[in-house]
Amino acid sequence: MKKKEAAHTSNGAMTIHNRLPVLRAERGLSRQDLADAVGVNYQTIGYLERGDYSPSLELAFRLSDYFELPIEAIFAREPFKPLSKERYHAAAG
Amino acid sequence: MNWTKQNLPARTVGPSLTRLRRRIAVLATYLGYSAMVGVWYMASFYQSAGLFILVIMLAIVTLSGFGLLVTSWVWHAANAPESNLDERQQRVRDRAYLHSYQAFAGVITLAGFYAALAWDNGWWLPTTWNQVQAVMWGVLLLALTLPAAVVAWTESDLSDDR
Repeated sequence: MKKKEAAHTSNGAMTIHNRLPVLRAERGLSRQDLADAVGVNYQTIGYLERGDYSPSLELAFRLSDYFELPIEAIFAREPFKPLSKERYHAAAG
Repeated sequence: MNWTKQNLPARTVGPSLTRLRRRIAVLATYLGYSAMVGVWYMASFYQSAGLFILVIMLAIVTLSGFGLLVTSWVWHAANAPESNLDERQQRVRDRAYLHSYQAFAGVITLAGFYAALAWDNGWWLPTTWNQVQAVMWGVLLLALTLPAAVVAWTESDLSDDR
């Protein structure tokens, strides 16, 4: 069986998938708003969203605190399912 | 650490440039300087007015590339104090300094080998004060701009959408 290869960022780290664009859109935040709230440059938010940069644990905690969600609801090693699908299945199940 | 408005990293400074433009600026700086020195050497040898005009044009190309690097965000990314950079920017800067050191050490080592071989074989070596100055300014330009050039060359394009 062919071993599944993990995706990697441009700096060689394993890609960490995230829901930042969705969470930001839900709250009507710009990249700059979120960047100001967690103390990074707005471009860093862009790189995070694109999966080109994996955050430090400290930044992940800051984002978790800001969105009031557990880290695993924001970041994951596997791609996320669409939120609407998850919510529908949860309601139906 | 509590993030307050007082200790936020500085926002992007200077004009944002696409990677293609940043790479053109890097090439204009280094190739422009090398070509300028080469043509200036020939111009002083042949005493040609046309070649001196070409030297001036190449100086303008070099200064334009250098000016673009210095005024854009890449200069800030490579030279700002740590407190003005966020964690990703610090990582980019650290990587740029590592690559710069490797490149600079490589260039100096090759130049040393060339000088040793040139000394033994009678190849060209800078002998006049002007030639020594041209080499010295080239080394200074490289040392001063290399980290910013690495950032300019390697950073991917990102939407300016805030």
